[in-house]
Amino acid sequence: MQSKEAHQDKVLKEVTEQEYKYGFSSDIEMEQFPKGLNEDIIRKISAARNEPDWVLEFRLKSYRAWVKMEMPEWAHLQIPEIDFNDLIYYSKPKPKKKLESLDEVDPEILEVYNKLGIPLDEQKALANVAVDAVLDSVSVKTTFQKELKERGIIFCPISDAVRDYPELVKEYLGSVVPYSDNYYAALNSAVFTDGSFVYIPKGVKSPMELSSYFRINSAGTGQFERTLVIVEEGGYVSYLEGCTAPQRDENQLHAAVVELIAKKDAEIKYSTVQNWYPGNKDGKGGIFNFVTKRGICKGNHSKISWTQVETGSAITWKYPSTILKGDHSIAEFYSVAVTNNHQQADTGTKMIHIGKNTKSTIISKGISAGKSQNSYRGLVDVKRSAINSRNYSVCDSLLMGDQCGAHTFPYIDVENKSSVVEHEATTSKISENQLFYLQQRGLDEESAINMIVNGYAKEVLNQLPMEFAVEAQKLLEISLEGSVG
Amino acid sequence: MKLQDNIIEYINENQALLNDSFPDFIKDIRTKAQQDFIKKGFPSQKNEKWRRTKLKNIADQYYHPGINMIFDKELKWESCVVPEYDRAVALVNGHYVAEKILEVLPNGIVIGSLQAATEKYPDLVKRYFNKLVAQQNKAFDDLNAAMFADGLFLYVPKNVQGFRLQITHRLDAKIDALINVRNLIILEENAQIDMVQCDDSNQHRSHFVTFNAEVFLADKAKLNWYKYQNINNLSAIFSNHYYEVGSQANLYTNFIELNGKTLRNEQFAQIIGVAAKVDLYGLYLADKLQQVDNVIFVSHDKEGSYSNQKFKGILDDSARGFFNGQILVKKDAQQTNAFQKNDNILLTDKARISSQPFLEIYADDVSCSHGSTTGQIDEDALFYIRQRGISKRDAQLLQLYAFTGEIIDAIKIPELIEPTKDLVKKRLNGKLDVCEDCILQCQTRT
Repeated sequence: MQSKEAHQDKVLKEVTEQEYKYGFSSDIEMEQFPKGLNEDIIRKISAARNEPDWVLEFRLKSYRAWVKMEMPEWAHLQIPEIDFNDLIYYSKPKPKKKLESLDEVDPEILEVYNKLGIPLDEQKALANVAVDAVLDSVSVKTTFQKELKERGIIFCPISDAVRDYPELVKEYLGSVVPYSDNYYAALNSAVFTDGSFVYIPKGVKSPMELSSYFRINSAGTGQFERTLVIVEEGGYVSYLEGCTAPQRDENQLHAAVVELIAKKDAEIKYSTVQNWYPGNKDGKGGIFNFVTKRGICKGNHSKISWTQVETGSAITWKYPSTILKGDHSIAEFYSVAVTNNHQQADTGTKMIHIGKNTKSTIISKGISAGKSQNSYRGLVDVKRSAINSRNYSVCDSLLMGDQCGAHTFPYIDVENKSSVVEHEATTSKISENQLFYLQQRGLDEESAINMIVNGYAKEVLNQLPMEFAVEAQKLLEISLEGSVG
Repeated sequence: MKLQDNIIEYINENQALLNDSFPDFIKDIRTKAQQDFIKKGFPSQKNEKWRRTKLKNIADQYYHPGINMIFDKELKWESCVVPEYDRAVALVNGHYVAEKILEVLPNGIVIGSLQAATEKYPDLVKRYFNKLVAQQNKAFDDLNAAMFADGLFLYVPKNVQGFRLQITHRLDAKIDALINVRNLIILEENAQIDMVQCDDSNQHRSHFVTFNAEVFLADKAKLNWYKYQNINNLSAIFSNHYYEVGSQANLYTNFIELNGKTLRNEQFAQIIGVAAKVDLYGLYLADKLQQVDNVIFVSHDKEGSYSNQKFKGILDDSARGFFNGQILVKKDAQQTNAFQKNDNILLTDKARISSQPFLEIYADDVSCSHGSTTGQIDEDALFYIRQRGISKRDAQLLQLYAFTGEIIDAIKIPELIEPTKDLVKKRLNGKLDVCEDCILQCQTRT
């Protein structure tokens, strides 16, 4: 027994002390603004991007609201003090010249992606994925524009959308996440620099999965993407968001806002694999990820599905939510959140049922190892008007090691008699019986744990598109295999 | 809020009356609580645990703040006698009422008024009093400590077992009044008692009540506490219960919340020993504009303990329910088994429930789960029963009654089961009025 424990300790040590594989930084020339945040900086950002006045107005309005707000403290997180005046709010690679083909992309940038194993080249084309690569703040290269254009699909950086489709952006920007929604959303609304804009016209189903890889590169740069996805009646889109970031000792702030709008009969599938630098094993460095993601099922019979695999970031504060406004609309939330070492995560979802016969499903799997803290926090709010609504939530937590914590904070409000809401949650460690069973069959301990964890997360991983599923599985293996205490 | 202002004014003007009847160690706690209350006041809506409770509605009217500071010598209470009870005592408007104000029973049990106990057994009271409250300091703790006049004191010595106590907690003010009751219950090693408490009121007066109880269970001690709350629809009781649970000790509570404008029961159990067992049951049945809150916190500090929370509620008309249950498993509490379940039925579209089953776990070798459901009567089952020639209303009542079974079946005193079933049936039928007498006697009277 003793030797088994010793072995387990060894395996645990090996795995949890593994260094972040994707830690490197590339030296690309950056055009930067001075540190700090004030109305001047915001005007400068807006001017540098040639934005129309209404965008500047939106930014200033948000900034003024943000100044009056306080950092939220209700989450189960220990957030070190952030000096918002010590951050650079805008940086972009210096434009060299207009790019015609992939060969003309800065080889250093290409190298970054290659190191990460992200194929921004022919491989991706074969994989039928259009990539909107974001390096720091400005999109560098967008592929597949043409094919999408033929179908009337707009997929471009939000800065282009502001220029080319101002009516659309003006109508929907801030319509799901108002500028005054919360502290980080207000900050983002004031200084957002880039992100994706997706528009699917009526009746069009996107022929390919749209994907955007976000990267944080320049030291001390906060990245504030703004993503807006609009799907008109009967349309469909699957959007992938994936991220890895180079290793830095300095904490980096990331406060994105994502807004999804699904009209009648429309469907949006939004998948995220997040693998930003989580800090080293002593809890130094790592990215602060404070994200506001929200979708609205505006029309009847619409559907929004969130899937996330969260393995990175030092601190995660993220609640992809759905407002089920249309009758018979459906929302889903699938999440695997892994924390290790000193990582902290407070993540979950909100399901706001307004329309009749609306349905929502929440499947959340938390895995904590090392000295990390992993919390699920979710709200299911069934309003009086949402008759015959249905929610089913499952939140399971797996603990690996006796130094970590796993917490569940569900909030359930029901205001009518015809709805059914069910919530269940369990917390336990890896079953020793299962482990014993698998080891009996000749699997070594690491593979056995790997298998159990993969099985545990399968329900969520199955929801990911193919390309992501593979990546996510790899991430889980790196983060977890063998981590039993 | 009107009441808050009245209390502050009263505290400032009546220092001597409030503080002079207590020994110094309590006086210190009281004056600090008075200052804190003046500073903090009532819990605000911003407090997550109070957001769902309409406190303002209740606190914005006039209650006489000092009624329970004046001891009415005319206060008498004849408790009804439920069979198999060793002793029946009463708390009337916050005062302990019995033949003797403080007595020592032949088996060594000390029972009586807390105020009298602070004089007679200052050392004993000092060792325990305010220990748990000071650690937590929840809403209304300050008010209670600042203003209470009296309450129950109970001391059960080592190895004394099999004692059954009936407590009638009676609200019977002649004018609308604020009443604060403070209780201290100490069980020494291997002691065991059953307590049955009924919260009753008169028909027509508003009472705003804070009821605080600190309960100490030494190793192997066992407490079974049953509480029936049936007060008029003008009155509110805010009860805070604190339990310290030692090794192999056994805490069991079963609270049946039947009537009242606002009933709030907060229970905080801290398991400081190993291999302890905590079972908390609750049933709340609310209609009209009633509000029922249950706020539960079980903290596992040491290894090998078991805890179980089971709360069920039925909400009719415009009633509101709030359940917040939390299990905390600390780092050293390996091999913990902790469970939590909250089930609700809403009968109308105006009724509301807010359920928050929380888990906070820092140890890995544990098995914890929670569940929460909200729904309505099963239509298929209703149809099935009606097919058998039973009217819709009766079929509904049958189902609701069956829903409550899980809590009633958990009652461990056989003599209590039938009266409880009867009460619940009557309540579901809308025929349970505020009792002028002990509600457990209702069965024999009708």
